[in-house]
Amino acid sequence: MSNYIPLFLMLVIAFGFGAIMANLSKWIGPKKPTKEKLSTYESGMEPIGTTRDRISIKYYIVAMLFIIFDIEIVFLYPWAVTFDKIGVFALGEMFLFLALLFIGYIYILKKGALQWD
Amino acid sequence: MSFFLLDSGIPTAELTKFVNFSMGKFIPELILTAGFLFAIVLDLLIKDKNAKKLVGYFAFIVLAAAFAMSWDQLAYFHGEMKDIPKWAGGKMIFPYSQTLPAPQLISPSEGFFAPFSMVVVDNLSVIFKMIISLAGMFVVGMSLLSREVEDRGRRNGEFFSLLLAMTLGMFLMPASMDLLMMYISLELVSITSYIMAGFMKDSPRSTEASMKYVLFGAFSSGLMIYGFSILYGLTGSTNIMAIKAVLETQFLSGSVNTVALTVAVILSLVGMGYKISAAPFHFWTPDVYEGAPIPVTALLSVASKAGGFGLLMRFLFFAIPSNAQTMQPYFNWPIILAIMSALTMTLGNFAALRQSNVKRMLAYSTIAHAGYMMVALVSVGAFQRLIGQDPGSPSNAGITAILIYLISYLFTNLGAFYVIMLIANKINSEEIEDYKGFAKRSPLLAVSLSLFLVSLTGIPLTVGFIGKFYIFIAILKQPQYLWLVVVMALNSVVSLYYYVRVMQSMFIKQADAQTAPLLGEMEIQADGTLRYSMMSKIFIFVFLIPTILFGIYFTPLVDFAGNAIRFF
Repeated sequence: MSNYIPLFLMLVIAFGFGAIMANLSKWIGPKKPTKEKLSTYESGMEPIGTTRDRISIKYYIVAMLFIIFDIEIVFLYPWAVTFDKIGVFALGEMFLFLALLFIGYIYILKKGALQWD
Repeated sequence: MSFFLLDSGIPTAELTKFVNFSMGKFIPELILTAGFLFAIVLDLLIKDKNAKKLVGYFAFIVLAAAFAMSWDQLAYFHGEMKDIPKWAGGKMIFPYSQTLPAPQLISPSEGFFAPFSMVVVDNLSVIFKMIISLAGMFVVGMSLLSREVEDRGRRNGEFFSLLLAMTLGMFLMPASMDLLMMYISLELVSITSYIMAGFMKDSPRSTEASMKYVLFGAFSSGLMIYGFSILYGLTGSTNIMAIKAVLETQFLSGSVNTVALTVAVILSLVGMGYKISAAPFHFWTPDVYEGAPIPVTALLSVASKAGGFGLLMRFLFFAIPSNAQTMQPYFNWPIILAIMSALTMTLGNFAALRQSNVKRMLAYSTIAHAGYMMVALVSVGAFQRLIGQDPGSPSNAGITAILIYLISYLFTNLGAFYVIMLIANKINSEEIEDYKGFAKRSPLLAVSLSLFLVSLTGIPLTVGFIGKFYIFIAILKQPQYLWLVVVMALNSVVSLYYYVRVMQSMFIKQADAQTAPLLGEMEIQADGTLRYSMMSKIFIFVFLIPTILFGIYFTPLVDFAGNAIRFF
């Protein structure tokens, strides 16, 4: 157990240092706010309304489908990198995978999952 | 083709032969996959909502084909195995892990590895597949007659295609030889069951069931994969045969990390215990069973539980090594399981006593039955090494007992749920109070439900008795677990009370003013009985005949289940 004491100390110091540094400028720094200083930084947009806005529940299905097809792309990268090593077999496998996803795509399209109303 | 196979030094041509050969042993699963894909396309093609039932008929055919192909695999092990590649010298290649230097050769007499050694085809998994596909076929039949499903005709296509996907997951569960495959198959079953439990989107009860199921399922599968990750950290492999080999050397050299191993096994048990609804991971069961449409409840209570038991057996028998001298597992999982099973059956039975809803009562009763089946698993664990070597050994008795019980449970429990569904179709209620005087409304249904309940209790001359009897025999061979026999016997007595309460309501109590309005006016015939279609009456006998027949003439059942002892 005594082996872990340095680790524990390190943890305490790390958290303490972080907390102090983050707040130090707030505590001792001079504060002279002007209208310009408080406005959105350079290329930022003027905020409209609150960030905790309500989002239509229908959006969840779009988000979910996005993740599915996003992962499809993620799969393609390692496949493309190692393609020269695994050859035709992998080509067939990947096309099978894409075909299965394509059936899924047709399914969501036909079921009207992508229609907003 | 996996990389370590390519790196193994075996010529590519031979490997291709091996892959083709093992692919051929994967046909039932391939049928289900193709069937699922075709079913969702079929669902798109059918526009008329009354014609969506066609997907159901199609699903039935696919399941029947999967059943037939599994049967064929079973027959294959009995016949001469002719198509074993000659190059292997009558031995199958066994590419088991990256951590071990070369692929090992093992005897093919008891099983085969399907693609990439992720799943195994042996008698045990084949029998599980047969039980599961049979349950799937029955549930498709039930769904076609169910009003809950029929009323939502527009989405019937989804229902049946999801059922096929779920069956695929359940096929893979008892056959998994790799932690990743175990997790994926479990999730495939779980995710489809969440959707199916919430199939009646318009009913708050069903939606609530689905939500609770998702939360519980996500939590327990999270814990399970955490346990798997620790196990991987301890052994450096995800293949359970390799895990066993590594753990064995660690135990022999005394370098095993007992604390980490205990944590890993217990965490893994959470996920599997949740699937078979073993206490203390059973809390989702009553709510989900009550809220889900009755065919789905029936499927969850039989097929998904069978898959869970298959997975649990694979994991415990294959991943945990046992001492060659004492035949005891190095890691004493039987005692953990014994405590869990005592807890499960006691809790299930005592909670069932107070239920007023039949579905909820049967949910608690399925928890109790999971407890009984775990007793058989305990009896196997105590003498692990003797599996398959000596026909009379205690562990073989245990494996046979689990399968006999699952088969008996398949007919009895599905039958009970089917009759409850038929009753609910007419009176739109599952309360025991509303069953008052039902024997007059439909004598056939009342008598058959009583027979199913009698069989669930385990009274002689029904198949339920045979199941329990064999579990008793199995556990009696283990002197240190005699207390479990006492717990089980006492629990059987308790269970009689709540099963009889339903019969009492149907036969002894009279229908009063309260129960009458529940019936639709045109449903009652001139003589006061309810009108049921010929088809739905005939379908009762599909469950009733085996329940009685196997209760009297049980040799074929025992012989069939006895096949399972010949596995890896």
